[in-house]
Amino acid sequence: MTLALAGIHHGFGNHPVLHGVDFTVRRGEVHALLGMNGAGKSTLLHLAAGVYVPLRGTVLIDGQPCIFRSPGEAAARGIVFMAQEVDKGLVPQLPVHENLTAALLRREGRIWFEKRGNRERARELLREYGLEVEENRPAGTLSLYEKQMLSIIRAAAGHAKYLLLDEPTASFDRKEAEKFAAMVERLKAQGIGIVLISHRLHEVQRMADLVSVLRDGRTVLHSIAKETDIPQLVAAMSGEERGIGRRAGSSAGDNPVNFSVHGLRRSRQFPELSLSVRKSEIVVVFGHLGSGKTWLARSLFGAAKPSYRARIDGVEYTIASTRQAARRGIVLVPEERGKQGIWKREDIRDHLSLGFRGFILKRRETAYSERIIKAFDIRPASPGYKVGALSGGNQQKVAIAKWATGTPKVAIFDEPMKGIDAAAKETIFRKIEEWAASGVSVLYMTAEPDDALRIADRILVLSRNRFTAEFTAAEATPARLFEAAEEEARLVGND
Amino acid sequence: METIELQQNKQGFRVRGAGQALYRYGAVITILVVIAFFSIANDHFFTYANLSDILKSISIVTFLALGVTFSLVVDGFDVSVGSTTSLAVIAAASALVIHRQELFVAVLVPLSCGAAVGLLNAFLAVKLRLPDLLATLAVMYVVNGIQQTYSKGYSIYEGMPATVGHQTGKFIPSFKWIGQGEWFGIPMPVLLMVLFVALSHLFLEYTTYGRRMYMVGGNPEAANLFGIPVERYRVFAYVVSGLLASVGGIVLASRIGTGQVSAGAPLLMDSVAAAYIGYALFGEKRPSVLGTLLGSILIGVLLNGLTMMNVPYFAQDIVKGGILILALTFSFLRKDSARMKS
Repeated sequence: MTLALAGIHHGFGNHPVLHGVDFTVRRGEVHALLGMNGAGKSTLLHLAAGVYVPLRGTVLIDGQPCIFRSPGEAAARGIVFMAQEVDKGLVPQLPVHENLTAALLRREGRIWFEKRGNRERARELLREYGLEVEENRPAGTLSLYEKQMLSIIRAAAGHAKYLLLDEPTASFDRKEAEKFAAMVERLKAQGIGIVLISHRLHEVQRMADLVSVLRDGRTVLHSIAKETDIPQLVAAMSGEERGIGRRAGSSAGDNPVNFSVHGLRRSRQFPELSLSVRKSEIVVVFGHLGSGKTWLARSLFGAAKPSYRARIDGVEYTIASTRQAARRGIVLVPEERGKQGIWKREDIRDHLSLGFRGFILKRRETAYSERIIKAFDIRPASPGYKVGALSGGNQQKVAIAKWATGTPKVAIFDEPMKGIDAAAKETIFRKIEEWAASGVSVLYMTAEPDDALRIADRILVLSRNRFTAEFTAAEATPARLFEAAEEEARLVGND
Repeated sequence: METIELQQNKQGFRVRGAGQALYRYGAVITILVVIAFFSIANDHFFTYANLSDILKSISIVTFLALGVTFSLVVDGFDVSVGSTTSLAVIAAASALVIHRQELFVAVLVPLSCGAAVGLLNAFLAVKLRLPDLLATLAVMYVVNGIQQTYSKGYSIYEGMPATVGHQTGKFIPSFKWIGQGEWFGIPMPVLLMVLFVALSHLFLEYTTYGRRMYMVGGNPEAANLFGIPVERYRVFAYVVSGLLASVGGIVLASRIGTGQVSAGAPLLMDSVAAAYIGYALFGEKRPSVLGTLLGSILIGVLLNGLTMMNVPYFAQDIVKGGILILALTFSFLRKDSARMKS
C-alpha cells in the first residue's frame, strides 16, 4: 500500500532540478516534503501526479511501476494533486454541490442529473467532513480556505488513495489551520496517504509522520517527524555550512529616516503596520507565501485600497493611486515579472524609455537604451530585441531598469529573484546595492532566507499581515527567520 | 539594424529574409499588385482624376477607422463610430438649417456630440467595466436612436417640409467648403484626412503619451504597476474615437450638403475592416495609424477598380470580406505568438 518514486532525475531544458530522488508515502501516513523554493518539491509532486514524465526513474504503486501520461491517468489510480492555486480545479460559476459531485457522477456513469438528490448528497458529504458551507453557493464566492477544503473533500469522496498537497495552509489563519489539521487526521484514519509541502515547520512537526528535506534536487534529510527538531530541519533546508554571502557592510548607519508609514492595515481584523526605512538602507521583509508581503508591496505602491499616508524625504503625502506613488518617487518591481513587470511583445527600448516625457527622438532613445543596457548588463545588448524572448534574469533586469529614467527615493522589490539564474541574480543584487548607495531607501520582500541575509541591513519578519520580529543583519539566521515567520500562530495561541 | 537581426538569428528567431519581408510588407505589396492589376485592366484607372476620387471616397471612412484604431490601441473596441458619425451629420445639418448658425457652431456642436458619445462609451467600458464590444454595441443602438428620434426619421435639408423644425438657414458656403472645396487642386477631405492621419501617427508613435497608450493596451496590469493611470488613458482613447467619428460626420454632411439620416451606418463595417487590415499590416499584431490608412486605401482601391470593371456593387461585400479574411489569416497564423506566450 505505497506510492513510491525511485531514482528520479528530472530537469527543464539545460536546467536539472532533481538528481536521483527517492520518496515513498504509505497509505494512512503523512509525509512532509520540505525545502527552499527551487529545491524541487513541486516538481517531484508534479512527477508523481503525471503532470510530467520523469526523465529517469520510476513511479511505483504497491511496487508496480507505472507511467502516467496525464494527471487524469494518475487520478484514475487514486493519486490526486492539488496545486497552490486550488481555484483551477473548481468551476467558479457552478454551485458547491455540483462541483463536489461532478467527478462522482461521471465515475458512476449517471446520465440524468437530479438536482435535489445531488444537493442532499453534497450536504451529507460536507457534514461528514465538517465543512460548513451552503451547498448552493457558487464555488467562486468561497474563501480560499473553503475552496481548499472543498477540493480535499471532493478528492476523498472520489476514492482518492493519495493526496499530494502543495502548500495548502499558506493562507490559513490559526483556526483554519486547526480545522485543516483535524481534516488531515480524518483522512489518515480513512487510509489516505498524504504528501504535504509546507513552510510552517511547527505545523509539519504536529501533523507529519515522516519528513523529507530536499535541497538542490537531492534528499538531504529523511527522518521521523516527531524526532526531528526545528533547527535540524532549517539546517537541512538551508545547508548552513554553505556560507551565505552577506553585504560588505551597510552604509545606512544613522542616516535620517527617508520613508515612513503609519497605520497601514489590510482590513479591520488586522492590526496597523508601521515601518520606516533610512536613507540608503536596505530593509528586507521576510515572510512565507500568504504572509501578506505581496499585499504590503502593492499597498505601498498605491495599487491596493485603501490609500495611506507616507512621509518621504520629510514631506507628508497621501498615496491613493499607483500614479501618485510613482510621482512621489516610489518604485515597484512586482512579484510576477511576466504578468506585471514587462510587456512581452514590446522591445527593450520601449521599456527603458517608458519614463520619457513629451516627444520621443529615436536617436536619443536608442542612445539612452544602449547606455542603460550596458549599466544593467542586459543580454543580448540590442535595444530592438523583444523582451518576451529574453531569459528570466534579463527580463527582470529590464523590469528594474525601466525605472532608471526617474530618481527613485523608495524602491520596493517583491520576490525579485524568482526563477533567475545565479549570474543575473548577482548583477541584480549589485544594482540594488548601487541604488541604496545613491540614497534610495530599499524594501525587499522575500521568502528566501539566503536572499534575505545576502542583501539586508535589517530584516522585518511578516506573518499573517503583521510584523512579528525585527533583526539586524548580524543577528539573523535562517532558523531565527523561520521561527519568527510562524511566531504569530503561537502568540495568538497563548492568549 | 544589422547587429540586431544577426542576434535575433542566433536566438532562433524565425528570420528568413524573403519570408519575413513578405509578412512585413504583405499588405503594401498587395495594394501595389492590386493597383498594377487595375491599371493594366482599365485605361481610366491610373489617372489623376480617378486616384483623387479614390482618396476622396476613403477619406470619411478613414476618420472612423482612426477612431477604431485609437480604441484598439488601448485594447478596447469602438463599434459606435458609425452611429456617432450619423449623429454628427444630423447635428451639423440641424445647426445650419434649423438654427441658422455660423461655421463655428456648426462644427462645434457635432464635435461636442462626438465627445459626449465617447464619454458614454468610456463610462460603460472603463468605469462599469462592461466588455468593450458589447458596451459600444449598445451605445451604437442608443445613438442611432437618438439621431433618428431628433430628426423624426427625416433628412434635414434646404427646402425640407417642416416636420422636424422650421428652416431658417442653409448649408453655408464656408461649411460646404470643408467637404467640397479644393486647395491647389487637392480636395479638402483628402487634405483633412492627411492632416489627421499625420497628427494621429505623430501622437501614437512619437510621443510618450501615445507610447503609454500602447503600453496600457498591451498589459494594463504592468502599466498600472508602473504608475500609468490606465483608466484615464482608456477614457481618453474613447473620447478621441468619438471626436474622430464626428469629424467624419462633419466632412460627410458638408460633402453631400444635406443631413441624411443614418448616414454613418454603412461606414462602420468598412472602418472596422480597415483598422483590422492595418492590425495585420507589417506582420505585427499591433494596431497602427499607417496600417489603418493603408487598409482603408486597399478597400477604396478595390471597390473603385471593381466598379470600373463592372462588378455589381452587391457583390463587392464578398470581396471586402475576403480581403479581411486574408489579412487576419496573415497576422493570426504567424508562429511567433506561441513563442511569446512562454
